[in-house]
Amino acid sequence: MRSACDPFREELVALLDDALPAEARARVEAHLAGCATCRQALAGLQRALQAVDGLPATPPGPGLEAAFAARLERERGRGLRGVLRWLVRPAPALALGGAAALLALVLLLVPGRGSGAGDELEVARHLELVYDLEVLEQLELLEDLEAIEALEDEG
Amino acid sequence: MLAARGGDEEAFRALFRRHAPRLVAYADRFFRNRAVAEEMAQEIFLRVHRARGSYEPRARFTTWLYTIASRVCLNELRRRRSRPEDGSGEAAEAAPDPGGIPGAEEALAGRELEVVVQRCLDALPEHQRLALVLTRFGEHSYAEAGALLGVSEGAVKSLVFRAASAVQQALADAGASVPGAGGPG
Repeated sequence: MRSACDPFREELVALLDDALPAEARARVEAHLAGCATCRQALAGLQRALQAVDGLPATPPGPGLEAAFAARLERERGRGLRGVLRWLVRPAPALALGGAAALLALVLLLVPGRGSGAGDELEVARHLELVYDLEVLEQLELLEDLEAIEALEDEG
Repeated sequence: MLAARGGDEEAFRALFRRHAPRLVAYADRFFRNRAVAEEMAQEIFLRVHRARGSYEPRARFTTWLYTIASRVCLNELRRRRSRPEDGSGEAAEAAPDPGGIPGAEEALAGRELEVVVQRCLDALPEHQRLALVLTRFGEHSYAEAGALLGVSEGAVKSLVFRAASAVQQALADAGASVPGAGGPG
């Protein structure tokens, strides 16, 4: 059996969301003024929505910006140089991390750089390459050895 | 955004740094998978970059941005639904164990509440979940959410009500075991 409250129940969340036209809002508010059951329902729905709103936001991983820079620059056809340009801008630590990754890669991959595996590992440690490997994977730099060599030549 | 529209790369970079983290969080509401959410955030910003020349400041930038974001996420959901091998509906990342952390009991109670709510959202029929996500996290009006979902504004109102009622019920059911969960009245 339909209750007198039924027509108002579905309006309650819309009322909380301020999504009711003025006339409907006035009708619901008038009903609420005389209906304890609906006021209770309104409070319960409000708590539920607050709980939804309070859910934690998933933070991005550290490689997001580098990965995006790689996609953007690939789309623009600018390749590695464009990525480097994006990442070395003075800003958050992430940018420094990305630039460090590129520098470390040059040191590690270009023949004749460094005096041995031990030195290279030392460089990698100092540049926090464990973190930066994630950046490198996303930059797909291992496919771009020519560009790395060009950077080396410019350096 | 106006500077980025004119080709200012520094302005575009600043836009990315400001909004991308929130877009990852928003996309994660759709996919419940951070890697996919990050892919979506990148895709959204690529679209923003491509479309930046046609941006007109008639509405707030975030309204424009979240309309693009919602379209990208909904399209990807549809694409994944038609190709389930792509891994849609993957399990959510495990909740961290707060054991041994100062204030862990309170944190655990809070975490349990979050788990109750999140599980409830995960179990909702898809249209209810999407209506809730679009209106609460995407800041879309009921009319905008309806246009995005291909349903009427009235249908969105009903979907959001049913979703909120389900969460309310889940909180009430958990009330006995989760401190502070407190069901309806």
